[in-house]
Amino acid sequence: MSKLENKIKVMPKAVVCEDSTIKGDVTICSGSVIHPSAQIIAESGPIIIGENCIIEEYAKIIHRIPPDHKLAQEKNHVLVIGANNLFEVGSTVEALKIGEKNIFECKSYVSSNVTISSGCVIGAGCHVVGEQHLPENTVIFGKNCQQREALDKVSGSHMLQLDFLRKVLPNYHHLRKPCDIKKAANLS
Amino acid sequence: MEYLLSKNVEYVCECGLLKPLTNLYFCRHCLNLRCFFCCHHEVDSHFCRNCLENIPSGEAKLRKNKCNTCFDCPSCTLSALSARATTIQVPMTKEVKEGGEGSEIEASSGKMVSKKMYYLACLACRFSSRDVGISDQPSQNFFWPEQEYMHAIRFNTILNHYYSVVLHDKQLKQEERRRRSTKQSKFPNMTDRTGLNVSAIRRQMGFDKSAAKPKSKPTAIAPSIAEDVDDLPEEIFTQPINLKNITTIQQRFTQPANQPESVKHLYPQHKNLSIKRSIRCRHCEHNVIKPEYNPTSIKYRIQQFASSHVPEVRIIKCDQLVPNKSALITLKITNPTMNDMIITIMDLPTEEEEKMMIEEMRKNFEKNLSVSNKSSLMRPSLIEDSRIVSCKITAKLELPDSSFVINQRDDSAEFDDDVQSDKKDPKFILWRKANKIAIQLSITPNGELKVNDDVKIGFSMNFTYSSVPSSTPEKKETQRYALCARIYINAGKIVQ
Amino acid sequence: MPLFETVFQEKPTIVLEIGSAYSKIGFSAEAYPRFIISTEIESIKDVLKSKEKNIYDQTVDFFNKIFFNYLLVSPKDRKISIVESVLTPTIIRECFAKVLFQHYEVASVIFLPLHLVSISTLALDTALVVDLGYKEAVVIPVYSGVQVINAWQAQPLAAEAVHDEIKSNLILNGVKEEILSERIIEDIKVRTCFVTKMSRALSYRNNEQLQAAPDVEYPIEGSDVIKIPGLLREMAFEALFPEDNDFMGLPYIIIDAILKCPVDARKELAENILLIGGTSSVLGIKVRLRDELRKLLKSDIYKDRLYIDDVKFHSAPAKPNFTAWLGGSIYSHTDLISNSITRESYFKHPRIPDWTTYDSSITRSQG
Repeated sequence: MSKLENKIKVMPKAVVCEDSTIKGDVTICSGSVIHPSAQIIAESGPIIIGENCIIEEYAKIIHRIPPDHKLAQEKNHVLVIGANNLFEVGSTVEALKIGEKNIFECKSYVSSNVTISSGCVIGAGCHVVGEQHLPENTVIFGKNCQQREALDKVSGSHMLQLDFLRKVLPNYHHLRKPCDIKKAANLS
Repeated sequence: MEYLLSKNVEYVCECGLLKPLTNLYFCRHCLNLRCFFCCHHEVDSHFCRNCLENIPSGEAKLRKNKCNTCFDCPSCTLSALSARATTIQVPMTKEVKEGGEGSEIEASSGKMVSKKMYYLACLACRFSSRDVGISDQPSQNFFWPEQEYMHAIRFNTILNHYYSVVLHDKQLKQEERRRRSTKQSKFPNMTDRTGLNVSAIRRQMGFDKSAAKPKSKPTAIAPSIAEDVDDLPEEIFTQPINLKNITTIQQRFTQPANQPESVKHLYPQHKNLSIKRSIRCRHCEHNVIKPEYNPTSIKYRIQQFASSHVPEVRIIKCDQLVPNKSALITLKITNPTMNDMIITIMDLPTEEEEKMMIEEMRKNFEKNLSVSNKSSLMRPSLIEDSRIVSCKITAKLELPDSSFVINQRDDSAEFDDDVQSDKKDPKFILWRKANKIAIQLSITPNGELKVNDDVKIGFSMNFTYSSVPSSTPEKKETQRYALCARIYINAGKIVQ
Repeated sequence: MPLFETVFQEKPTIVLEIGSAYSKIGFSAEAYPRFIISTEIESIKDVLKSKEKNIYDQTVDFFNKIFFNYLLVSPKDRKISIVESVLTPTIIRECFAKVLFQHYEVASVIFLPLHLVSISTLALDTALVVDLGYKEAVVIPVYSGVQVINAWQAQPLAAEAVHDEIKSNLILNGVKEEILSERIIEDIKVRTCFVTKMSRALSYRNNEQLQAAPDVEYPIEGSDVIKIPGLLREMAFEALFPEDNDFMGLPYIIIDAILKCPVDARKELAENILLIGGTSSVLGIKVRLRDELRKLLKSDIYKDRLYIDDVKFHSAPAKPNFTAWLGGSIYSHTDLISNSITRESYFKHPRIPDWTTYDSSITRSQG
């Protein structure tokens, strides 16, 4: 891989700690919170992180299309991560399509073969590798990665948590400056 | 943990099994090692491991060993459900939400009132009681709706039927016996003349005769089966199935009664209770382990762990092991007791000797049994025969030429300066520190061992043991015993 | 007052059914077992290969779990009933008795014949009991409360055969063998497979093209997703209905069992068939057996030997996998249980009478 050129766009009202590792072309929409030592690596193309996402410590979001992947030929693939996703501590996500309101619990791993719709929960420590599409409201849990469908909508609203983090994080960490609003508007 | 559970040094339990010292108990009355396998286990007390409530055994039996308040997740079967609260706005009209306590609300004014409602949720798999259509409850400890068992009534009729059949049988037999015995009797029987036979007496006593008679047999289920066997639904051949809606066999077995096939019927299950168990020596019936009643306490009332009575042997290091070449092994021996110990290391008994030991032990036990009390004769308590140790020695150990003393354990000694004893120690002792001692022995692995084979050495360790003065008057004074522990050590693997 | 002692019987009998795959454990007079757990005695599956001591140790450990982790009772001085097939190897039966009497010091043990006690759940005394377990299918007719032992039929046509079928079929379809653990295969069987109709099975056999049931995408532990072909879903259980010249399929052994019975019993048995065992909870097996049996009754082999028009099936008030246990529960509640082997008599004669032992010195002499 050639050396990545960092093009980081932080929308206003997003809280992005400076100690996080962000590489490549990454757009962070307003309202999202990125903790220190989180990693966002856009190797194969840009990453756009939707509104009100939380990316916790040691979480990794990697946009890297393996050479034998069916999307490998596609130029300029953009990894769009929907709104209201929660990436908990130590989760690694390489999925190339992520919808809204998903929760990636601690130490979970999602490979690039998996596409994720909305409202899914990847349980703590679950490794989802096989090529598959997770339909809406799928919950993966347990050491055997058992799947179930949440009949009752996962009420994963983390607004309270977001509000708290937005208040607290700036007190203790340096933040990345959001880019120009006009410029941002042009980009989006 | 690895250090504690390592299986490199194993002691021979009285029953012939090899166990690390940390897994062994020590019976103070027989002065022998005991293990989990050869002891007698008993249920001590029931408790719920979720809410840590102690439940008396009678009540536990009544509740079928389930906790009243805690629930297991039926979906992931590994975690407990926790009650979660939501607030809902209850308007002050009559249409209070189902399950709400109407009267309470009516008492307040006619405004919107926020009210806490509870549902059960699993934190591991996000199962919630709403998934299966259980409505939210106004109280955490509310009686959550239970499932009905569909065959319950039928089962009871069958049970009663058989019960009555057997009762009837018994009656007939008794009558038969009575009739026969009257015939055989040489003495005149008044009951026959006075009409006071069993049935009359029964009637006098208030037992209705007809009640004791078997009820009419419940109609046997003999359904015309042609209707009963449903054909396969046609859609099974056309409709795709959703795996997520079909339960796994583990999920089914968490509800043995209904074994639901669809996740829509996975209801929260009452949590099963756990027990605290006490462990008892089979030979003398004394407890080696007795836990405290309080479920939150992890302490014991009686704890006779071998590691606090028997000197502990650990490997410090071992030279490279090559067949037929002597190597040095360094062992650390720790004295856990409050008395000095004299230790002698000797050869293991041969197989014949071992057999004789087992034989002797059995004789001893039988003698004790006949002496002790008569009641045990009624119920013969049989001890399983000890086994011959299955481990084979694969190296020759050069025994130290003399016994040695290990100082007592002294918790304050840790803070003292190292004081070298003025006694001259034999050469094989490398160093001694407080209640620890390191000895160096030479071992010679057998010639036939191949690379990566385990090298096993073994020895008998005789040690002096001073019994702790007990409260019983005749044993006020400490007594000294000479005990023996057989130890097998896995020294390592053969290298090239 | 022997008449009333059962009323005040304090502790319910512990009822155990130790199957080759799953064990059903609970107490007498209860409508369903407390637990269904997997049998953790490896040697039961391979009894002939292992040493006796090995079975003994494993049984001790397993029973320890049953008593202290599940049932939460001290087994000492309790009564135990064990529901087992009459075909259980003696070595296992004696091992259980030895463990229970010697290690756990129970008061008494009774071994209940599985087929006989199962029909008590129907309140009948005559039925043809077909036990489809994990290892084998065992057919034993019970007539007027007596097992017709000489008519028994057994074939290894049960869960294990189905598992093998699924496994080999998936491997043929290019699934790696390493990922197909026994647990996964069982899960595939339980959640996707069913017994197809006889007519469809016939057409498949004649290589006719049919629209098979829909395929299923099955995720294996997050690491892979395999496709379960619809054909496999339908045909996995065909392992129980092999069509060859041995005539040893499930329908054949049922008919053979009926044939070995006296003529006047046959019709009644055919009209009272009871399917038990975990494998018989699969969807569609009753229908399939009914159709197969009806076909056989009209076939050339049996037409002139059996004059039975129809077969009928019962459904017990229980799930098929614990019907036998339920029978044990009912039986243990009545005090017929006093016929059990007590501790004292075991120590006098440390032998467990077999079902076919007539040695009166060994068979219990209690009344």
